[in-house]
Amino acid sequence: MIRRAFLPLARLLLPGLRAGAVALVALVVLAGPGAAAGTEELALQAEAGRGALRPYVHVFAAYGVAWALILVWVWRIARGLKRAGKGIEGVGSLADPK
Amino acid sequence: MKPRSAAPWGFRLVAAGVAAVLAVHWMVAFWVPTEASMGVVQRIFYVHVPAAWTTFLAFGLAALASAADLWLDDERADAAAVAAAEGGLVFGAIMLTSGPLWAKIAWGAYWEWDPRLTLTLVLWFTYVGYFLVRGSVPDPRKGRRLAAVVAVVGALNIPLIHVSVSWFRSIHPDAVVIKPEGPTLHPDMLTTLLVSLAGFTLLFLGLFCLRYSVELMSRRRTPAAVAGADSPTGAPAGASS
Repeated sequence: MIRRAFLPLARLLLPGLRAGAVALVALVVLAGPGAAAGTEELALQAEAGRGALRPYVHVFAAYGVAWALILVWVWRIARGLKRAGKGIEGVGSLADPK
Repeated sequence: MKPRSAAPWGFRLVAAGVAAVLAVHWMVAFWVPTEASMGVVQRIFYVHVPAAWTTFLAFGLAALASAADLWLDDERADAAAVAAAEGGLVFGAIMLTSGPLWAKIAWGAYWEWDPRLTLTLVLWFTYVGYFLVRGSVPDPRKGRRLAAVVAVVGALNIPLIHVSVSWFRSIHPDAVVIKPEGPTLHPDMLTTLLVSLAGFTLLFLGLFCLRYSVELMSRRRTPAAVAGADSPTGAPAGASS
């Protein structure tokens, strides 16, 4: 029953599907080597790009690490200051229990 | 120097240092010429060399303060030594990470067991040992004095690092600024380097002042220290930690 329902549709679409498949095969056969060469070229370009960008990555990493380490020290000093402030409050409460 | 007087100086110096370092970032990105043989990666020079200079300054300061502490038994000298050694570790870590990042492009390897690199790593670990010694001895006063000896002995490595390039066969480049015949560096590169050296030095000195203030405050303003100050000997309890 289902087959009967789809048969007219398949008959309608089949010539188009055949034409599409033929066009696809022709495209692969004719443009395949060119496309592959293009892909290879793109890959080489990307590799060269990566190579050219690598020094920049190292430069940014060096400056980034420098800032990160300095900020860690600043954070440590600020934490120490906060603790010392709490210590002062503690001493204040000891000196003046009221 | 009292903590109250050191902290405002610290903030001023940090502000000046940050401004100079930001100016260096602009110079490195837009102004300084690119070195011919190494290309753009040579720009790591403007963070690596100032970090190295600041590291030696910090460890030298830690050694001097430790020697003063050993001689005078002054808690302020010990606090200064702790603050300077901590700064030396931070700037030493910057030097020891920026150097390999540069070396990977210039030499093809992140690390070589070259005399200068090895001695610098030894120096850094010596000051890691400084903090380990302080914390590992049960008697804080004894730990403090032993650590001071480590700081003084460790600093003897600094002049050796400086001359290692000329005394031993080394892959590390020789000095380009402090030379008998004068600096062999492009004037714009030299300007950028000098601004960077000033910026890093100011930043270190500012953070050192703040760290010194925090160290003194944390020792003096604790209830235990106050209780110790009331003791017959007058020695603050835990003051030598």
